[in-house]
Amino acid sequence: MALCGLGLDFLVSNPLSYAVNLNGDIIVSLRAFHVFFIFVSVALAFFFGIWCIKQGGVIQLISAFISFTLGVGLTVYLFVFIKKVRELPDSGDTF
Amino acid sequence: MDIPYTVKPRPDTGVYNGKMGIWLFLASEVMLFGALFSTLILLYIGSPEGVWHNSVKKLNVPVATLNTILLITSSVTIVMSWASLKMNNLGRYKVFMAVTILLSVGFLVIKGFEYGEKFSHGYFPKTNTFYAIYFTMTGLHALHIIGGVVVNLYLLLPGAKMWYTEPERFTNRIECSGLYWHFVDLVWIFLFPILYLML
Repeated sequence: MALCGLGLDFLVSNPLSYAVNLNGDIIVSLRAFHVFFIFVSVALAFFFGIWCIKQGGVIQLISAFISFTLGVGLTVYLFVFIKKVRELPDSGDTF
Repeated sequence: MDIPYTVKPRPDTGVYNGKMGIWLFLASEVMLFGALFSTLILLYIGSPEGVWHNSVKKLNVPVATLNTILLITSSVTIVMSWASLKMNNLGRYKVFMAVTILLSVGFLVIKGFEYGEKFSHGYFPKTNTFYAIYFTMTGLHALHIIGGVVVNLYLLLPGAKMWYTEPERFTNRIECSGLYWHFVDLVWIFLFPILYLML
C-alpha cells in the first residue's frame, strides 16, 4: 500500500476507523470528532458538486469544480491533520 | 476544596468529568435536533404537492454555501486553537480563537441578511409548513451559534486567565468548547443539503 510508508495504513480500509479504538469503543476526543467532521464535510463537498452539475449551466459547472477542489483539499487536510495530531501530547483519556 | 477529575480521567468513565458532561449534553442535543429532522420529514410527506418545492426554490443557495464554508473553516480554527494550547502557545491560541469567533459572527450576519430578505418578500414562519420548519430549525441552530460565540468569547478574554494557574484544565475547557462547536457545525452540515438541496 502506498500509504503505509506515511504511517497512514490504518486509514486504507476506513478513515473512520481512526475514530474507533482497538476495543471497538467510540473515541470521544476532539481530534476524533474533528476527523469525523472533516470526513462528513468531504462527503458534503462532493455531494454539492454533483448537485451543481445536475443543475446545468456555466456558473453551476464552475461551482462544481470549486466544490470538488475543496473536497480534495479537505481530504489532503484530513491526512495531514491525522499525521500531525499524533505528535501532540496525549490527553490521558483516549489517544 | 478541589473539584475532582478536571484534568485526569475518572477511572469508571475513562474521561475527565468535563468531557463526560459535554457528551451528555450533546446527547440531549441530538435528541432535540433529531426530533426536528423527523418533524421536517413528516411535514414534507404531508405537504400539498408543489408547495414545498416552490418555497425551497426561493432559498438562497450561494449564501448558504458561503455560510457552510465559514462554519467548516471555524471548526478547523477551533481545533488549531486547542492544538496551540497543547503546544504551550497561548498567543497562537488567542489568534485562532479570535478567528473562530469572527467566522461565527460572519455566519450570523449572513444569516441575518438571509432572514431579512425573506421577511422583506413576505415569507414568515406562518406562510406555510416549509417556512415554519425552516425558520424553526435554522433559528434554533443560530441560537446555538450565539451560545458558542458567548462561551468562546469568555474563553478568549476573561477565561484565559486560567491558563496561568491551571493550564491543563484550561486546555480541557477548550476541548469541550471545541466538541460543542463541532456538533453545532455538524448540525448545519446536515441542515444545508436537506433544506437547500434535497427537498
